[in-house]
Amino acid sequence: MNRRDAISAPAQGGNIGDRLFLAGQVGLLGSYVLLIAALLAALAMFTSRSDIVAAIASPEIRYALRLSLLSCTLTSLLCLWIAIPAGYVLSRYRFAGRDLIDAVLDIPIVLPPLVLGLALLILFNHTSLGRAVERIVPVTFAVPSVVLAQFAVACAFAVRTMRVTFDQIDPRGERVALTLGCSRWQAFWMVAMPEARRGIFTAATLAWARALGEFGPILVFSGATRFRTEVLPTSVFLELSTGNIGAAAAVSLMMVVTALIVLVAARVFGLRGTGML
Amino acid sequence: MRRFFPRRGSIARPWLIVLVSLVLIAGLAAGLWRTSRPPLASEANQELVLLCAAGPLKPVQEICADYEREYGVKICIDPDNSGRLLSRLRAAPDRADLYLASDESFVHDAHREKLVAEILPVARQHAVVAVAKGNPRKIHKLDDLLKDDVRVVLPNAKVTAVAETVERALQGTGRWQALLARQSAAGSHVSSVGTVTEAAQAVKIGAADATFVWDANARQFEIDVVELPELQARTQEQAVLGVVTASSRPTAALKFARYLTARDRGQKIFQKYFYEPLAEADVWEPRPSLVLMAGAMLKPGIDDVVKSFSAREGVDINTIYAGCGIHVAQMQVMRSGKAGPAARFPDAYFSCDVSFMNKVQQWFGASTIISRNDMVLCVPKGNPKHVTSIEDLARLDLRIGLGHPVNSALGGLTEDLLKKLHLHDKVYDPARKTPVLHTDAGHTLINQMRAGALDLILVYRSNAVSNPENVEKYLDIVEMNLKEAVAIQPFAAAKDTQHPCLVRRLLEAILAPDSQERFRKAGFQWMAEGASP
Repeated sequence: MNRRDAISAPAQGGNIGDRLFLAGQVGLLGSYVLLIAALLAALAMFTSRSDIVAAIASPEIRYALRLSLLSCTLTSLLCLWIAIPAGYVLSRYRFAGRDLIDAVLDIPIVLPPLVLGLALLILFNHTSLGRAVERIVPVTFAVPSVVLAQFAVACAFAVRTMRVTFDQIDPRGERVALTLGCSRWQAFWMVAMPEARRGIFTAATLAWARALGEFGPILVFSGATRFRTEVLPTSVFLELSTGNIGAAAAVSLMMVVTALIVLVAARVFGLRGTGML
Repeated sequence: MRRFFPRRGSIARPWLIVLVSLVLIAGLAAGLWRTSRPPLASEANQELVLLCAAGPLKPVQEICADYEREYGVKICIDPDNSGRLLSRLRAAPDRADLYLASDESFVHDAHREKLVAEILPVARQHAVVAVAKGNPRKIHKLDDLLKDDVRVVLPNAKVTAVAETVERALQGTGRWQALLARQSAAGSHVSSVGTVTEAAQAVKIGAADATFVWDANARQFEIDVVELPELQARTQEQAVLGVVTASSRPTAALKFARYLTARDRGQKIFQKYFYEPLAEADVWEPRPSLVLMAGAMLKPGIDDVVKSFSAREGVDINTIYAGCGIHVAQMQVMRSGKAGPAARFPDAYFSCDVSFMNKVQQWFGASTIISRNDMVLCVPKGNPKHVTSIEDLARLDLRIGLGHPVNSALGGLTEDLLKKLHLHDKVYDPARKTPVLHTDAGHTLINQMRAGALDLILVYRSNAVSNPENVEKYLDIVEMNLKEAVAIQPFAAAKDTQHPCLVRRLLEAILAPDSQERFRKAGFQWMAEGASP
């Protein structure tokens, strides 16, 4: 929430009803934060320092970390390339089939992850289009499949975020720019985009975070080959499969810490100068 | 208000953002490409993809690391549950070289669908009740799982092999149904999970008191095992490895498969991880060699099969074609210890007739009957001497050729037949102008007849028809239609062969449909319908 819009806490001796209301809200927020903290504590309890050191030292897990970071960042950039124009078009224009397209864009969100992975697998191996792509760039069970699987899901979230963002921006500003001689393109770049900066940032971080946690489609479409398509969730799965619960918890913690560092850093640098920090 | 138009000569800001974004995307893609750079062409040939069930992952990882160290071949392991791996194999059949499943039924399904060509047994396991360390709930028998306060996790019987096996083993006892009934009862302490590893995890974490898992899984998860007699004997399962039909490196895949299953390589590591040893496993050799003794008449039926098997497997097969009498004599000499050190007892024997197999059966395992071959009379094209039946062998005006009575199965069977029909003395009448010609193999008689040296010969049908030119240009067949005039060909592996699994795969190749067709074309009748090694 923008600081300018924030409501300050009731002063001492305020209305008792307001205080109860605030206490209730804070209590509910606190319980959820507590749940998350408890989950992290449980993970931390189930692992040991040696597990964490072994995880950090493991070349397989270092590879998975590098692949996760690179693929998630690439995925979130690709998502923005689709989500910004898609969100703008859906928000600003009325055309035949708009509702249908809107519904179709939700499919990756509602589809079970395994089904999405299976669909990608079939698309690239049992259709002439997919086979043609495979002949040029091997996708299935290779790194491009990781990015594609992450993108297929994360982009839907990014589009949804950008749609809501543009919905909340009053189109009057763009119309005024048009009357002042701007082209549509200029109105979009000069008026809508700066206004949507916060939404773009949210869409990017949401896509990044969604991509980092992606597992189901990657397992099916990319496999879990070490030093090839192993991302951090795959490492957790592999460690769990062999009974190394301590190591799985260590990798999970590593994922949490990585996500926290990246998201906080992105927030600090991404929202600098917007008055939202 | 910001300037709408950039200064002359500068780049418009929107385009700059687009450009930076594209450069970033290209940079990240390049970073990914570098991270996962595909191996060089020469290295790519040294890499195999193994779809591996999650259960035996640990020993498989160790075996793969050993193999890479020893032979420089990298094995990329792709783990998941057996069923999902099969689905992936169906969707992309050319993206893997090997498929290892905890439950053989998955690999047999893949084999039926021609996704997998060869199947090798890997390790054995059986179901147990797994309990928390120290067995705090004192679970010692199946009925303990039915107590109200015992929390039980059941792997799903529809998708996990272990639960399916346990359910089958407990059929008729009513206990499985009782557990399921507890599961659906209100406030129940019985629940279901999707995989055997999830079940083991539940007990290890303390979310459940007991579950059914494979013995090896329980020991890998370091939880206690309660062996129940009703499960131990009736829940034996085998993890198996399939070589993917569409693999572009079948020979390399088979070499690794042999390593993984060899008794002095992979098997040792599986046992280290608590898997039970296989009853039968090969000794490791990078390029093993087999000795196959086969009756000469079988050459047209098996020669191509043996050659393609040897090329695909990357093994040497020394096939010794000869009369079966000679084979039997050689084997007896070898077993008596009188043969030289170079003589090697065969790993497998494919005999022209069961009578010869019977003479050496003590050194071989159970035989598989493959084919039968009728004995027929052959005469020069047009039948100039008007031969009509076996009685014509007694005619003194004919030049007769027969199999050698001792050295060949054909001769031995002919001898028995002539005696039974009271023709023996007439055929070998000293008054015969030209003595009966004996050879060790039927095809030699065919060649003699084609050369015009014989008027009547008794051979196997396969000797005559294996070369279509024979019956088209040079010979006519005169049927005898005698039920005794038949040879039956059995195949058996030597009891002490170092490569019983390799021999079994050779037998599988002989039993394959294309081989069957080759036998039929060569004049044999197929008798191994539905047989399996």
